Amino acid sequence: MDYNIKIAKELYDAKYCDDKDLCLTGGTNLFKIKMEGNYSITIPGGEFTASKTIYHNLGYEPAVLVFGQIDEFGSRQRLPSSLRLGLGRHYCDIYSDRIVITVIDSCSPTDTECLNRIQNTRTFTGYYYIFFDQVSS
Amino acid sequence: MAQGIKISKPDKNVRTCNDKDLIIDSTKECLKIKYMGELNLTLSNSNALDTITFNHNFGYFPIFYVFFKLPPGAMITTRRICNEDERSTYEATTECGAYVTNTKLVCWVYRFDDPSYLAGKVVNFKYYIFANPIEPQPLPRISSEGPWLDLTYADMTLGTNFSQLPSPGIIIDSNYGDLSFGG
Repeated sequence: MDYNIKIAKELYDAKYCDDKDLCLTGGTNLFKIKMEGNYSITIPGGEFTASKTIYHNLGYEPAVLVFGQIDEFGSRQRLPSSLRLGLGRHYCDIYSDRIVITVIDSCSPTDTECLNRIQNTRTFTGYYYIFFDQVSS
Repeated sequence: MAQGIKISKPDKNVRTCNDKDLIIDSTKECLKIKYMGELNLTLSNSNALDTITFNHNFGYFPIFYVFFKLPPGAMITTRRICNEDERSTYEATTECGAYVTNTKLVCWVYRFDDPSYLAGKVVNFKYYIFANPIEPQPLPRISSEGPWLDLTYADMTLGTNFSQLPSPGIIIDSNYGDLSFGG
């Protein structure tokens, strides 16, 4: 006999309702958080890209969820994101021992229209979750 | 009295801590992974857009989350999150993405410039499809048993089916009991 825990949403019957109407069930996997935290990436003046490396040392590629700043006003969006004001790209590479979060300014250093911004440092913040759940084969 | 399961983070009092300090709170809905798996899409030699499908058959649009990995020979071969494109800083070449309908998950690869690029090679997608919908759901309807539901339908049929008394009955009495007996 299989054992399970099921807790239904209010007004639903846990024995008979669909999975979508459960608050919690032991019958399906849940993402389990290995680590989480804030990060900050600063692009030096005169540069157009920078990265932040975060080590998880799981030995496999894990599922991750990253919410990063997508504009100069501090708005955040689940990564990857691209083509927003002041930010070309903000994305995450996943490796078996680390993740690398990268930001790329929307203007290259040779773009004269953006030169004033490019000359200054630019800092982008975000928040990441790294899960125990494996995405690699 | 509401009942449920709560487990707090270390050093937090489960009775008094904030919701954010709970690891499990059965009164809140979790993201429940219904399907997880991999799809391997072999790229064609002629189509700019290639797709591969997984049928979830939920009948509603679910939350989903997909990762991809381009094959050896691509400019970028690390595992990444959909939707995103392979790039040389600013110039996109190949984009990988996913979307859902009410019956299926579709993972796709679009090659901007040359469909022969990476032709015959395999793009790997790892997907998670959650039971949670991304559209409004109807209110609960009929179930065959349970004190709350027995009372509801007994009321609607003039009280002929009171095989089980409601327990605890706080919400039941005030809402559905009144519907039939209050007049």
